[in-house]
Amino acid sequence: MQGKKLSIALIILVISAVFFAVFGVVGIRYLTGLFMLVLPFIILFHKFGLDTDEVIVSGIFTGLVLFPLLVWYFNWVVSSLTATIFVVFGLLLAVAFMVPSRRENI
Amino acid sequence: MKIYEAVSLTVLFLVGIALWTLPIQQDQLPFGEGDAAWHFSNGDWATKTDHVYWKLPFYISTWYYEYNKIIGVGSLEYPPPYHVGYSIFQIIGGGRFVPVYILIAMSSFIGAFSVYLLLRKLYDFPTAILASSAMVFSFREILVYLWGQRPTIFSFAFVPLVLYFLFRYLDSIYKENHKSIYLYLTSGMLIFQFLIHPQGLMLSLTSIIIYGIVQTIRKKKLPVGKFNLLHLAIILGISLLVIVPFFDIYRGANAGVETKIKIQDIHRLLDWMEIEDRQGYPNEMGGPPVIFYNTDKVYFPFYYILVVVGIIYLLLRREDQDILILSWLAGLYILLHFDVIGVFSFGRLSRMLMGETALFYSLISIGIVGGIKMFTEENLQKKIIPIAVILLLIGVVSYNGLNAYQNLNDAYKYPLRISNEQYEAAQWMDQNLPQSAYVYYAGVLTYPKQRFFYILSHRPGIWQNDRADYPWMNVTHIVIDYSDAVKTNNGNLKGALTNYEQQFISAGVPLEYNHNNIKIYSIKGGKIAG
Repeated sequence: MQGKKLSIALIILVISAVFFAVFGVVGIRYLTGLFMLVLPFIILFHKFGLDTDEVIVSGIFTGLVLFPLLVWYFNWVVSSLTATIFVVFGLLLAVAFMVPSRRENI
Repeated sequence: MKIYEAVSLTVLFLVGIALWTLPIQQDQLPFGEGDAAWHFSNGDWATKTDHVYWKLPFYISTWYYEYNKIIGVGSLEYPPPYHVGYSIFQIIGGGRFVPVYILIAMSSFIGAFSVYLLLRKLYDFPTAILASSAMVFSFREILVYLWGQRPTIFSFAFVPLVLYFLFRYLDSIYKENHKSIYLYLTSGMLIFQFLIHPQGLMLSLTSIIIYGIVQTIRKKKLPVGKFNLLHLAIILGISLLVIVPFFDIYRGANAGVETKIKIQDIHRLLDWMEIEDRQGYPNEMGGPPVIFYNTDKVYFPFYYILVVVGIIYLLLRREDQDILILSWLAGLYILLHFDVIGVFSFGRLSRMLMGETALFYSLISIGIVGGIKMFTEENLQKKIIPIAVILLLIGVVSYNGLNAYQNLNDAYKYPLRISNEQYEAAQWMDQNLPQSAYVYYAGVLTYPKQRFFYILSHRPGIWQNDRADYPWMNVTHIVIDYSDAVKTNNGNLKGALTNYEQQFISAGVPLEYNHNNIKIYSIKGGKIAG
């Protein structure tokens, strides 16, 4: 488990270093945005007993579509688009953490 | 997931990012054809106003599919998620262009990862890494990414995921170990395709329907029953909730899809995708330029031999996953021949080829690795397959990779891309011209640059090649742009612009902007002399 966490940390570090080297601060901010979009779904899908590669790939694809869709809807309630992004991120993260793990029969 | 798999995927992702963002690394101004400008503007406007919208701003509502026949002028022309994504990355990324273009690049080569998942889980790592590496260098996707039909590529990237999740779901039914999560994921991916672009959705639906029918016959078991009715009802409810608000966007679009059935060109059923017999070939066929169909570049010479080997391997083995890939092939074949019954225009049909690369690279990889497995003993396979895959990866990098690098590295260099001087003028227009301004452009070299001028200034415009009969066209400002003529030493254009400008100088029309060889005159309701 410790080795797995270390590997994930190393991969994130390498990706961040490359993004910073190529795009500067914008690259790191881009990664932060990507992280905000996909993290809630990765946490959520992980709870349904999917394999790691299934979780990562479906998390990225879902985040890139569902997060913006929710932002579009919530922006009609929250007046600022910028604020809405953070509201949606917070809500999704809360949902992802609150959903109980259902690794069997789902 | 093994550590070498994680490392391989990380390398693939970073290579993809480094390669596909080459055009924005060299010049940070936006690039692409007219479609690229239009898509960019959708997210850009939401960022500028810090709010999403249901009605398009005037400056971008007048020049795409003309207008929606059901919802009317100014309605959204795509469901919002793809363009809101641009906005999110502009805001979080802290830049108007670079973060958006990283997103565009990533969503254009992301199909490599859905192909990887499908082939890794249903076949093996060598097959998966071979196909996904080739996808990162895919010439056809690169062309479309550069031109600007970016939602279409992204939508097609979902196809392998839909296939994979459906496979897992049906497999769980056949093994009496129902995993409804895969049903939800299949449906979710289909809904996402609807939200991004319907063409990818059509391929997914056609392929999974074929697979469902074939498997029902083979297994003699219906995939629908008491055990999943509740889940299906929930999914139907969610689907309607998501789809209905945006359905008329597609239904009312003037998008090259006909409902009148007429049988024509039946001989085309014998070809996979024949273009030589098209009216206008090779210049203007009503679809992408002819280079889009150049399969030697999209794949490699004699690629079709390996595609056929892959198909033969699947037909001989006929395991469930083989039937799935064959259903994908059959689904694409059907859609690529929809023009025979008159449903698609050629332009719309040709874009279906974006669904071909993932399929063909999968078939090629399955054919190679499967072929080795068929003709060698098991103890030899462990030695031969890694060596073969490494050699083939070297081949992919040196042929497809080099080709991809050259195309991306040389893409949209000035004068094909808007210049800093033009961007500066567009920003001035954004800050100083009234919202009601309508601008006529003279001198900007290309049509796409013209489009980028509109969207970067947030003002509608017209140039000499546009239709001039729309009732809303009432020109208030004239941009006379000498900058392209000066920078490209185009004496003829410069002379023509000088003559054209003379009428405004003689009439004493106020000059509002004069900087970097770009001049902007203010007229009110004036007629344009051509």
